Amino acid sequence: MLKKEFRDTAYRFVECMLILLAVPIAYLTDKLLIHFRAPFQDIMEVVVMVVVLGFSVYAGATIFQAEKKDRAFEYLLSLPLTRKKILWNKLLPRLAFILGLTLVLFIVRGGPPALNMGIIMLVLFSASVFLSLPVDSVIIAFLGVAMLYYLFQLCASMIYRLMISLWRLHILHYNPREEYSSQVIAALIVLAPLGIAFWKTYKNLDLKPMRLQLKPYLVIALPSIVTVLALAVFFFRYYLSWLYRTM
Amino acid sequence: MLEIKDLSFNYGKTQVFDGFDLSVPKGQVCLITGINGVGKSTLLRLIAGVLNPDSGTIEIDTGTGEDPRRRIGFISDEPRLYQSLRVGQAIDFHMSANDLKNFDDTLLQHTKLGSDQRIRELSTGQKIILHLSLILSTEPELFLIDEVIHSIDAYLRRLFLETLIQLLSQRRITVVLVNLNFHDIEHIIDRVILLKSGEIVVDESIDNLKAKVKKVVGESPPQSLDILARLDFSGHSEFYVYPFDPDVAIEDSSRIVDLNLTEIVTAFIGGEYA
Amino acid sequence: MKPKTPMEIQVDAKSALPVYEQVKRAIKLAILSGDLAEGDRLMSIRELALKLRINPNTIIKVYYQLEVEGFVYSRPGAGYFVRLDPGRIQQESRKLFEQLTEEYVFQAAHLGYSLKKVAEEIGRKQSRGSQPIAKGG
Repeated sequence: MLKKEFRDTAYRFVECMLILLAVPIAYLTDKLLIHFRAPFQDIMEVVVMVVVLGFSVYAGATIFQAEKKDRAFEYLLSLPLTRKKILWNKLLPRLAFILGLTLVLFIVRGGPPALNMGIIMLVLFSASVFLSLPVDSVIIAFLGVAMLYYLFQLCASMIYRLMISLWRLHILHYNPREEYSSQVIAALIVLAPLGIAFWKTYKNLDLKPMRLQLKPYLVIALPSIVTVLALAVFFFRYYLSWLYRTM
Repeated sequence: MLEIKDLSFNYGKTQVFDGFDLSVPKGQVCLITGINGVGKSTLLRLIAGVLNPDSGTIEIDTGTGEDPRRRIGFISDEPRLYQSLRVGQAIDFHMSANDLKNFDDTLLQHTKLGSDQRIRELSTGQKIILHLSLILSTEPELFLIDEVIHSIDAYLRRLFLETLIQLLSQRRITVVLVNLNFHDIEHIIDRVILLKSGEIVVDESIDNLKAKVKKVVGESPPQSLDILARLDFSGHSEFYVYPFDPDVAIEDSSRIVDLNLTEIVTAFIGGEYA
Repeated sequence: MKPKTPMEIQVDAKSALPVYEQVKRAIKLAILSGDLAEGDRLMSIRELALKLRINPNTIIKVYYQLEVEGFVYSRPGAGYFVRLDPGRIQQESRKLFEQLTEEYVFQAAHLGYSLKKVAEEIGRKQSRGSQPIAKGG
């Protein structure tokens, strides 16, 4: 089973890399024909980052695509493989590719940026995998992950400001660790309910229509996200202005 | 071999099974039939572990403590392998998922399957034969076959049935068949179960069933025999009777006709039992 | 000993007789008529099931009943062999003959031919001197 999953992941990777190929071609076209004069290095950097991050989402969102498209869930579930083993066989190649990309980035750009990218890739990948069950369309998955990322940013910012105001931390003594920790907490807050919903659904996955099996998402993930969003809205609209007024 | 106790299952708003019981002993070839949509395929999927029951238990006695799916060969009513895989890759996939090395390709040799062809390029019959070959290779003790026997040509069907007969005599496999067509398979069946609305309405050995369902041809219906169905022709009618009682007198002008399984099941389905 | 194939057995899905009864009767007939001799080995259960394309359980039932009725005996690992003493042949043959006669007469009666008419018909056949055609298969 692992062989097939590696093959599928490689296909997804190639699909993304083709976009990277498009850029030099566009650039050459530009150089030869249009003369817009944007620096290649900069364009390429942005595109690479977008494609690499996009791959994490794509690989995660399509983790069950073969089963959904070919209706092969029935076949897969009839095999003597535990749900855990199936998931592991699917995650391993995809994580391997993400790790590989992180290593390449490490070689090209050095430690901190690579690590940063690596973590973001993992977070985006996780979010996509969690969304892969309720969401069928890859485009909607991308949108969903984008919205979750926005929520994550809101949450991280909220926590960071809370930390500052609660412990009277001075922004002058900026400690990146505080920012990182707020991001980690925010990631957990956003991802955990989704992850729990995913696992509960996946553990008991069977051939019934998917919409009948998504109860954990409705009961756990949706309320949590709505709550976090509400808290963030409340925080940014009211708490901050109250805070500034009292300072 | 297979014990289903108090099984309940619903598909959203439809309650398919409610307190369903069934026991299939080892070595039996059990046919499950009934009108379309009555829950036959759902039952097979529940046994195969591809659907989870809402309540109740399905016990499969495979002796060892391993995953029962390792000892079950299940093929559903539509071939559902990974379409983008090539035949060779699909075989590898199946073998590795079942922890096996050797694939027995005797059935496949009779088809024109190249190991490079993609599954989506195969005809339905070829896909079914491939899937049947795959499940044969795992040497299951319990075969669950859903309506695909008549989707392959007569020659391949004969080959597959011969393989089943071999396995029946060598290893005492258990077979649960869902089928609507009984041509070619009638003499392999031990027991006939007719489902209606998620319940068993008929459960007889095939010999008993044939003894109990007869056609009485005459002008008027036979007295004191329950009629399943009747067909009217000019001058006479055919009355399908169940349960037939040889001691009950019928009119001298009537005659009793024996039926094959197709006629028997059709009578049940066409009559009040459906 | 080389296993001898019994006469070709046709299994009729629409017969009044269940399948195992049909097979049993065909083998009995082969034994009683001498097509299968004392000591001949019957086809293995697996082989006969494959040949007739019926459930091996049915063959098992047939062979078991034949053994109980004394037509065959089994040697573990070797198979089923025909057993019959000549005195028994007469007895069993008579039984089968009576069974066939019963069925024939019953069917004839159903057609409306009384026993008297049946006897007349047999007499007619006798005088014509025709041998009953051996039914193939």
